[in-house]
Amino acid sequence: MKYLLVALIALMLINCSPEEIFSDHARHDYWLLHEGAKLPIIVEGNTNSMIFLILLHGGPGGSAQEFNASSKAFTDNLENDYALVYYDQRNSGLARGEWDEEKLTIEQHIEDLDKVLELLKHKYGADIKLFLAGHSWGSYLATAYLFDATQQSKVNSFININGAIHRNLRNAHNLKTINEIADEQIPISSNADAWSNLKNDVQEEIDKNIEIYDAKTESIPNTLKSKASDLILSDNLLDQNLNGIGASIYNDNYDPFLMLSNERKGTLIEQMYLFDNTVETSLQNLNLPVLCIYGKYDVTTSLYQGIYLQDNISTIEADKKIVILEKSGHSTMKNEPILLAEEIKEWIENYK
Amino acid sequence: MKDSIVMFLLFFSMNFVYCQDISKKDFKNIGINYFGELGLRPGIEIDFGFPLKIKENKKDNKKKYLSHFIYLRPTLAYFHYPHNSNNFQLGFKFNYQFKTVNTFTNRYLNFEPYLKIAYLRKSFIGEIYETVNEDFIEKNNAGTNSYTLGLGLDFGGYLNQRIDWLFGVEYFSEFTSDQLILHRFLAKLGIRIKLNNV
Repeated sequence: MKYLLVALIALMLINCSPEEIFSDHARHDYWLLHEGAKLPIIVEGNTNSMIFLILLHGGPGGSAQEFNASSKAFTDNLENDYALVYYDQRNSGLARGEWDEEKLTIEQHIEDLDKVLELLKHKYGADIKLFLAGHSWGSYLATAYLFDATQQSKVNSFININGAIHRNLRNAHNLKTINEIADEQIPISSNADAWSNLKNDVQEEIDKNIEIYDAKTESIPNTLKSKASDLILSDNLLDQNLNGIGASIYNDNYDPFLMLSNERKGTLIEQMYLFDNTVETSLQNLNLPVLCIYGKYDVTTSLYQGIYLQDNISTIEADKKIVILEKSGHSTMKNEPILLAEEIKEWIENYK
Repeated sequence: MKDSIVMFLLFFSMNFVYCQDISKKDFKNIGINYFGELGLRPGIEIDFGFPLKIKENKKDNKKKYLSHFIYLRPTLAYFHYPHNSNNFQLGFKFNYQFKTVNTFTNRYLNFEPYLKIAYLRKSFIGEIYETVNEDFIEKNNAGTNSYTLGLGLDFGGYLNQRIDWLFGVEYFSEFTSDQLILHRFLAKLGIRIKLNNV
């Protein structure tokens, strides 16, 4: 009985001890209440490093927990050296709050992101170093955030992982990449006929000379993209390194049903088309170091989106780099997680 | 909205607890069971069973007979999302219980589909900050409210004179303030304590 009492008191003391804010293996959970949204922010990893890598999830409508859910080989690798920040955007993932279509705008997402960065500085000190990384739509959001010079000055570098940069050009870029993959696969693939048919369909779409797509007409390139993705999988062109999704469900509250049942995009896709003009005129505002990482077989946001970004920003050549992962598609963290993490580490070490 | 739901639940709880037919008191029971979302997210549920209707198809010289019960079960559940939230669910279940009883041994098995309506409070875990102008203020607590509609299936049976065993599965839809419809799947394992030896 005496020992039980001592053990219970010890347990209570352990549970009551304040969590170290700076540690090699920190795990801090925050909620940020801003403009009707309740945004979950998880800081995980080495906060002693004073380097914070913010991972912006894709979608729109995804969840930052996808990174953990898809590949701990990617996230754990980086968490050993840096603090990773998983933040679910408004009306996405584990975020809660009001449903307000008027606040589901690119501008509001930019404001939310700025508040997240400010909160990190508020908690961990003004001298922490922030690296902004985005995947797919996350990169689009990061790029838009960096157009403003004051906001850009808060960030050491931008790491663009399979990012969408220009919504309209994305369609042409994807079709171009599908054509190139088809040319490679037709002589060697057991799906040669399917690749040939797809190439013909892609050529037909290109021949229409559609200069401006919109949220409705992009359905044709999107369908071709889906067909290409199926053939890429069938031809075993991708590496797959998935960890057990169970670990993410129980440790990180990843909700597979949420992703299946709720599309929280609102009008964001339409807004992205309208925002293309801003992208064209504002990309030159970017002058910070930019790393672009794309999967060779990414037909959702093709490598040409990264090239477009690199060609139109003002960053000096020495501070720009494009990495192509040879056995990856759109989800490089699932396909080649360790290579991806190593590339990011090397980049951060150069620009920290 | 939250207040009216709580008032509604309290009003009907009081009515159902205190307005029972005294002849049915013998079948009242308390259920205590593990309530795990996706099986392993930990939680606990306590409910109270009040029989609203009983029909026993008892025939002489038959080894088994079938009973039908309609139970109202006010329920309180708690389940935990690690690092994210504590969830408290208060509501009602309407259980239709089929019970096969062995006349010789008095042992029985239950098969019990039910419907459930409840209010769910999600209380956030972690440090909570609210933006005020250009600054942040720390808040002690925050969370969300939603209502849930669900259905489930319980199996149970005789364990001893005082206790029944219970195993079940439940699904409920959570209707959130941000217009999400979240799907929750839960597994249950526990006991029911009979308030009278029946």
